[in-house]
Amino acid sequence: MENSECLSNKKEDNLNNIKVNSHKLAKINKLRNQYRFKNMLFIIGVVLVTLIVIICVGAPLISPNDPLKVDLGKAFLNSTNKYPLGTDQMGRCILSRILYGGRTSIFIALLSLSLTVTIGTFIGILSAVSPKIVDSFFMGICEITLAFPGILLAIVIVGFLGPSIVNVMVAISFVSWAKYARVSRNLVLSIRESGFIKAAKVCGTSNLNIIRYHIIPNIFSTILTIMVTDIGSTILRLATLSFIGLGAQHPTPEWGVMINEAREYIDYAPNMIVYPIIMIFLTVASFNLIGDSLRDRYDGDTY
Amino acid sequence: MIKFFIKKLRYMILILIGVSILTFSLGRLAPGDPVQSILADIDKPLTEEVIDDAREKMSLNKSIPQQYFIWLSGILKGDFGTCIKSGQKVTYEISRRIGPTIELTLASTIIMLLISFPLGILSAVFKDRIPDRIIKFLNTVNISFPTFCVGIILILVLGVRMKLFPVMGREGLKSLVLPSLTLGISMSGGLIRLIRNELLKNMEKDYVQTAVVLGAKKTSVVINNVILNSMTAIVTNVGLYIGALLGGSTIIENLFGWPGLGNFMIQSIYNRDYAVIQAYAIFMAVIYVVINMLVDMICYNLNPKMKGDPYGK
Repeated sequence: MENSECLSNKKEDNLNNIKVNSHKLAKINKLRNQYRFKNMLFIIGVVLVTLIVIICVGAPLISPNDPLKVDLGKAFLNSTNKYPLGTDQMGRCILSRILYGGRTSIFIALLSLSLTVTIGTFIGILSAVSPKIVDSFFMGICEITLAFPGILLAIVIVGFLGPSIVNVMVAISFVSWAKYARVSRNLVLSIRESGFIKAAKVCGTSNLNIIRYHIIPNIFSTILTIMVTDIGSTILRLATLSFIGLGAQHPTPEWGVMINEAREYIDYAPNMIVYPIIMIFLTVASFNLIGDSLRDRYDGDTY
Repeated sequence: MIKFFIKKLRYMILILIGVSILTFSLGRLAPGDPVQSILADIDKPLTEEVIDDAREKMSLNKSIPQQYFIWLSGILKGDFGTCIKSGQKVTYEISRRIGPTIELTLASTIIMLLISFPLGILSAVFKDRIPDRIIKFLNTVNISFPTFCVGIILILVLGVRMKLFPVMGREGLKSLVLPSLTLGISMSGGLIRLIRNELLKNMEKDYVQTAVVLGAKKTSVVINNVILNSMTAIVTNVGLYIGALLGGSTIIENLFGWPGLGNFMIQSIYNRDYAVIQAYAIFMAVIYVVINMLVDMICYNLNPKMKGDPYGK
């Protein structure tokens, strides 16, 4: 009698275990599905970015026509075999201009982003290792720059320096270094107290070498992640500044410039304006997809 | 409270001084000789004497710090110099364009709030379910569109195809619709995300669970309690957005030919009118300071915790 009771109790226990397990299993399944979904978005982003970069870098090989060749007799053509997306007001091939434009946009964005990251990380590390007065001075400047509307500040700076693509790059770096400075400063402060830095110090490594061989490799991956999440918005800013005529100048094929030129003919030839917009959107969206999933991995769910 | 604001005010004055130094030095660093550009319109032949005279008048032959103080005292009196193109005082030109910019700011802020509050709350309440997914997707699309592309799409669809609203200039209430809709839509992208994340952060707290256990509906708890608790962060960000808009949403004003500050600024950049650019930079800094103070004041009243801790940190 006792035995059988014991047995039935065990059975119930087993049943309960199974129930708990199935509950856990459902949860794991849900998490796995979410993970798969996010991973899929990431892969879509990577594939799209790779495609866009390939067609833009290979623009001289792929593009059907010379993006700068003016032929007024062929203005405002619809799509034909020779001009797959039609021509603009000066008879230039829109497809070729878009391909070459992507080259300019992505190249300039990466260049200006590298400049930003270099300046920001440099100031961040400098301010982390400096005495407190210097540190709070730099961080004060950081706070102000972060709070100012970036694009307006960039416009003011370009206003002083004069419109050109180099000045736009300078202006964009000038307004967006603060984020990197703050992040790298905090990172440096957090790893400065760890054992291996102390060990290096005890061994007599100079401060410069500690920064070079211990601190920079340690903060590099985080900074790189933030940099990837920022590619999309940098392309956006550059296109915006070019659109109001402050960035790339007239004959250069660039998406912002193309949209700016096309807006005069918006009711007459909407295809001139639609294709560059689609390209900007696709590029920025796919960079954002990659950036968002990277951020999810490092920061948790902040989409 | 007064102590808190005096401390803040000191900080703000430091910012203004910093911005004025920066603006002044950028103005000096700018390419081109200011004397040449001002004398270019005058018919007199450009002899040494005339140039020297102008230098004397503009006090360019003094040392740089002296020049800075002369310039600063002019600004404190409200004298930003003259606009090259129209020959009017810069202050007059700016004051003429502030009205349309404020109009646009108000309209687009209202639209932005109307879009982002309901969607943000919906997205937070239905986290990881269908409404949240849809809103997330739309939001990602929205964020990947530059503001001017949103504007152009609206122009194409509502202006050119359906001919509902005028697409250029500022005539009547109808012409306000497209620019403010553009700004409202594209600025709501960041705000929806912010509201959702802030709400989610606060929804994990114990009082929400208690209320739900006691039988309150989750939605009503969110609307009645959680929002108030997340208001500080939201108000700060909305304040920043409004500041950016008051500075003249340059791109959209340019796109729609809106006669506001931003458009004026771009025209001045094309004309290399450094006096206007300087005035605009100072103006932006002042707006930033004022908005920041206002935001602090609102947050101070919203969040009793800040009264004990003057920096809110």
